[in-house]
Parts: sequence; structure tokens; C-alpha cells
Amino acid sequence: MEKNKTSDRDSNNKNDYLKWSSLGIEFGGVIAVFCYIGYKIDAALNSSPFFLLGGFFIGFIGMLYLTYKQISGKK
Amino acid sequence: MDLFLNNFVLSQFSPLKPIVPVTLFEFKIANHVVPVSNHMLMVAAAFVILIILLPIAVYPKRLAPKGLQNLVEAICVFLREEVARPALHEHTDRFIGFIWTMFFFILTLNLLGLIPTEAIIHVATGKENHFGGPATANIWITGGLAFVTFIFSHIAGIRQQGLVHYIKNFIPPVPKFLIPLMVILELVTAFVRPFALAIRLFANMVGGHTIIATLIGLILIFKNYLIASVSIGAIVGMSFLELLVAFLQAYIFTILSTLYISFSITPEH
Repeated sequence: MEKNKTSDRDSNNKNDYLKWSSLGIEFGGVIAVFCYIGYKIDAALNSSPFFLLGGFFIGFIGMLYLTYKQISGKK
Repeated sequence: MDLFLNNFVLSQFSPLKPIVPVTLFEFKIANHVVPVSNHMLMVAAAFVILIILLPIAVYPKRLAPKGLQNLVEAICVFLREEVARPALHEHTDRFIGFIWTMFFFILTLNLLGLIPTEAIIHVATGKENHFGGPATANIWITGGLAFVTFIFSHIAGIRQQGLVHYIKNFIPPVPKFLIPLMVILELVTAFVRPFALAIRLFANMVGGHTIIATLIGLILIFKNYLIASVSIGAIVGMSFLELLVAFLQAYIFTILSTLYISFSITPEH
């Protein structure tokens, strides 16, 4: 019985490791997409660099919040 | 050595050449011209090799497998128990076919890319050709593989949870005013994941060949026996590293595909 518990725990740990292994790329990718959208809006409205910076902060803060929600949801 | 210093062999067999897709021939389907590139040919070759080799490897079924059967079984068991089961739990057996297929296909493409097919044909026939090359060093092919994973994972999620629940579980529980932002963020994340898969595999395969080309380039620049010996030693070392990368990248692509399937089928929010 004790052995089963240990193996379940190991299995969950492995799953957690897998889950967060691609977080960095997702984080960077989302920020890049929002920055690109901001850059395009800036180019259209001639408002450089405000929308680009806005895109960066929306992507960064949004992903930080999303990650926080996912981590707190797992606990 | 003079042959090398005259830039003949080295420039003829540049490791960067196979990375570039070249149209080998074309055929017509309903007034549409379909070009077939060296990379498409390698994809077809990997398909044929796997479809012939794997059945030969796994049959007849033995209690104690040996040789190729042992290798294939060890890889399959490792992928099922160490990669798929920790992420997919009771759903493992439903998706393991896809995971095995992805791994063996990418691994075969990576390994075929390490064989200097066009150089061998060139030496044998004396004619310049473009038969060969690492198909996974083509962004469209890695993108295609990532697209398959993307579609497969979302279809698996919708089939598992139902369309309504899948959409409901797409974002975490957040205050109402944040829902539009979270939907956009999750949508972007969903598209970033396969993009990251494709870029990772593509960049690693191109990177290895570029380093080898750079090391060969040092011989051409310095035209010096000492540099040439060091470069050739480094090239041999890099080629072994490329072999490791071929396995490692197939493994990473598989592990991340498994992860994305598990995200889709188990509502995390």
C-alpha cells in the first residue's frame, strides 16, 4: 500500500516537471506576439513605441497572471 | 591534402547544401504542378523504411526479444512508461500509437539527414545531385509535424471533454473583466506551442549542419595542416553530437506532444 502511494507521488512529480518544461518558450512566444501586434498598430497609427510597449506589458503581465493561476490551481 | 586545399572536395560537399530544399522533379495532378523536393523525398524514404523495418523488427513475437526487436521494444516501453504514463495516466494506451509514430518518424528523418547521401552518390557517379538532406531542417516539414500535433491534441481534448466543456475549460477561473484578456492569452499560447515545437526541431537540425560547415570553412580560410587536423577532429566530435541531437530532438518533440495532449484531455482549470 505504502509502495503504491510512493509511485503515485513520483508519477505526479514527473507530470509537474513535464508541465512546466515548455513554459519559458510559451512565455516568450506570447510576449513576442503581443509586441508584434503593438508594433503593427504603431506602424499604422504612427504612435511608436507606445502600442509596442503596451503589447509587451500586456503579454508579460498576462502570462505572469496566467502562470500564477495555473500554479495556484494545481495546489 | 592538395585536393582539399584546392577547395574541390570541401566546397563540393558543403554540409549546408543538403539543408536547402531543391526541386528534384515535378508531376501534374489535375492541372496543378506538384514539385517534389529532396526533403519531400527523404520524408517518403523515412515512411518506406519505417513501414518495412518496424514490422520486420516486431515479428515474430518473442518472450525474450533480441537485436532490433529488443531495441524497438526498449524504446517503446520507455516512451510508454516514462513519457506518456506520467502525463496521460489512464489515457496512455489510447494515445501511445500516435506518440510512438511521432518518435520513430522524427528519429528516422533525423538519422537519414546524417547520411551524406548526395556526397556518396556524387563520389560514386561523379555527377552533382541533390538526393538527400535532413528533412527536419526544413521549417515547413517541422511545421507540418507540429500542425499534426496541434490538430490531434485539440481533437483529443474535444472528444474527451465535449466541445462545450472544452471551451469552458480553455481559460482558468478569473474575475469576469479579465476573461477577454485570458481568452486572447490562451488562444495565443495554443498557437505558440506548436510554433515552438517546429522552431526547436528545425533550429537544432540546421544548427548542427551550420557548425560543421563553419568548421570546414576554417580549413578553407586558413589552408593550414594544423587547423585542418583540429577542424577534422572537431567535425568528427560534432557528428557524434549530431547523432545525440537526432535522438534528443525526437524525444523532446515526443515529450512535448504528449504534454500538449495531456493539457487538452485533462481540464487543468
